[in-house]
Amino acid sequence: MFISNIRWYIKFVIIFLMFGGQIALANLQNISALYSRGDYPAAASASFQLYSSSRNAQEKLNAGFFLARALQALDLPYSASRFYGAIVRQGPVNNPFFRQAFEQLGIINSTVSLGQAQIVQLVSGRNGGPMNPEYIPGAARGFYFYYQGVENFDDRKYEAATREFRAVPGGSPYYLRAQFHLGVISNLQGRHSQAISYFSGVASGARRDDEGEHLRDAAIMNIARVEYETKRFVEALQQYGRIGRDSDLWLDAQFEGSWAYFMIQKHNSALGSLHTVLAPFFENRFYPESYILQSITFLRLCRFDETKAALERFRDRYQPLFGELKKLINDYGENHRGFYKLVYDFRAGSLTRFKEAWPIFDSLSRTDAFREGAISVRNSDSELARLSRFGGKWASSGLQEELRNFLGKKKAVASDEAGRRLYQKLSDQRDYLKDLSRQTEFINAEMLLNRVDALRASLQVSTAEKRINFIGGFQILNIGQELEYWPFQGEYWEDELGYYVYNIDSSCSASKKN
Amino acid sequence: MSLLLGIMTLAGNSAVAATDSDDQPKGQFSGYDVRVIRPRFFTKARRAEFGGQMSVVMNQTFIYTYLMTGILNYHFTESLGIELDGSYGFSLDKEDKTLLKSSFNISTQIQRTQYQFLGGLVWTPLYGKYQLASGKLIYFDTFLIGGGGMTGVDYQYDHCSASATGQSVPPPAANTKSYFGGIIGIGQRFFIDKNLSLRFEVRDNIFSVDERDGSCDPDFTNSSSKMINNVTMQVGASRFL
Repeated sequence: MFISNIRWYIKFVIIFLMFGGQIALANLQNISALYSRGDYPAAASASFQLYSSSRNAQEKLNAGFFLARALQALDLPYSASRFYGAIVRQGPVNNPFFRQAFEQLGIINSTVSLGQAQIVQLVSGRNGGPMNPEYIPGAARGFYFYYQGVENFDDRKYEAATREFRAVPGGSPYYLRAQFHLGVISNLQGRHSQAISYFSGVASGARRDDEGEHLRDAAIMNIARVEYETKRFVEALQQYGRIGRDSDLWLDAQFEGSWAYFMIQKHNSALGSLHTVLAPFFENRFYPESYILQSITFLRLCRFDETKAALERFRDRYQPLFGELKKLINDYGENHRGFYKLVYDFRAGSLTRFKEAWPIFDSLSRTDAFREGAISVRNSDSELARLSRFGGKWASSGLQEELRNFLGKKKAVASDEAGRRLYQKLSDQRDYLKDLSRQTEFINAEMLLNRVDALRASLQVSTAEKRINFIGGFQILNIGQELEYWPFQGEYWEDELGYYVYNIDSSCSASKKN
Repeated sequence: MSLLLGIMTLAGNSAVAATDSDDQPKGQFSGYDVRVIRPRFFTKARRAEFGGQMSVVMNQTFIYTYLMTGILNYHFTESLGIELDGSYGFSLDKEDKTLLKSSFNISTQIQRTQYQFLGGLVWTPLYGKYQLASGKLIYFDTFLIGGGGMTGVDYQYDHCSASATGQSVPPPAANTKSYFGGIIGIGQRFFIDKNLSLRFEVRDNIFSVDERDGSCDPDFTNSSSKMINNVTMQVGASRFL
């Protein structure tokens, strides 16, 4: 750290001598002395005074860089990013600090996420288009190309996004995330094997920390989804079985796995997985489709009473939700920040309204949109709180106000953006729920009209994998394997979740006789 | 705390019904509509178990006997195994014994168990789990053991007193005699992980001693057998290989 600082300092002096011919030497010398003494608050204040008053571009750059370094040294990374960003936006020409500022932004973003809105603004050139990649310093290439790729990906420009993601260097902290996106693009373009290969690489290369585990699980889920999409249901089930109980994606795996079981006519296993998804442990989770799948699985087994019961449970649980959904859609269409706050309050446990919609809030609070917004808001709040430590010194120079404005705006942008994305998802959920509701009505109507056989025939979507048998946990039964059995007697045990298997036969032959 | 018990059967667990397209392992609890079916948390079949225990003989009036026990066990199946164990220890006099001697000049004749070499057949009919209030689960099994072996009894002849009885013949020198007998017992293993268990068991080691062996004057005492029940409580840990 010390050596790196010395190196930086020598570099600064050389640059200073090269470009500082016409600049206010005395001011910069003073700032430099304060910085080298480790008096970062004073160095930041003096830098900001020079930065805001100087009309000389080079002097402004020098002061801005000193200011960013001092703020970074004071553990105010967001605030530092404000001035590093300003240097980067000046472009590489006649900008001796471009490279270092870019690298520092990459480092800051890999530790405290800056948020997509700010990054997209940063990685765009002065005219809003991409920068010339030749100017991107080696250490920042991963950061730059990854976010360029993300922007193209969001705009559905998959060819361009592929080029950018492929340019992310192997050693970059953004490499695996770029590979993940390449997997998604490959799948969207129908190259399923290549997609699996990308996701497998991500799953095996992910770090053993929380973020790495999440990326690993997301990659495995995507492998399972590609297998499912290509009708390799047994392989899909094996992938779902790799998602650990403590993963945030575990319940998704249970639910999606029950569809895979349904497709290969493993009804008892499908119903078993749904038994987990619908357990009281998860009463605030949002899996409305599980009731539909449960009902059509029972229908396939000619168990009509159970089919009706599942549809009724769907109605009982989700009918009251429509009223609140409508109110949320109406009230927050123009108030995305307010909607973000609502989801935030739910996550924090302080939301007391909209109780029927809590399962939807739960699902929204688990999205990347919320997670990214929450990180930005939390980090901004944390820096705002720390700013008060430097009140006296920084108030007079205007730095305090400048940073408060910047962090306040960053917070507002983050919550607006997160709120917008969350509101969009809310609308999607409402449409999804409406669609499911129509499906329940359809199944009911078909049953009332005695068209069950036709409906059942339409559900014969795949042939059964007769040779393979499953036990709980998406595991294939091996001959000679020692198993343990527990009866379900109405009491849910946490350790048993994910291992339920139904033990019921088809009633179809009996119903035909009747 | 909740408790659920599964009664194990000796029949194979993996038998599969082959009647419809969605076959399920028959296994246990086939009368239930919903079951949990998963690989056993702790498997013992074809595994050796070794461990150590601290044993205390609980039913002795005048002494405490403590034994260190080593266990070697081999499980043929989940429910059947054989066990060999060896114990060695010492005895301490209780206060009652000292009091009788000092206050009433009463000397008690004592059989002090010094070692045991036992073996037997172990049957594990119960496998279950406890859930603690914290949600943590503890798997356990309950086993019964029956067998036999040899027990060494230490005779110190400290109840013999020449001056009090007027005997002219001095008591025999302290020695240890061995007796064959049988054991029955019941115990539980609490599984810490997939290789380690804590063991708790109670056993009755039944053997017959010749009363003459403990007599102060064996040459003038007739042989007569006396049944001894050493009820031991044993606590320890074992590891599965």
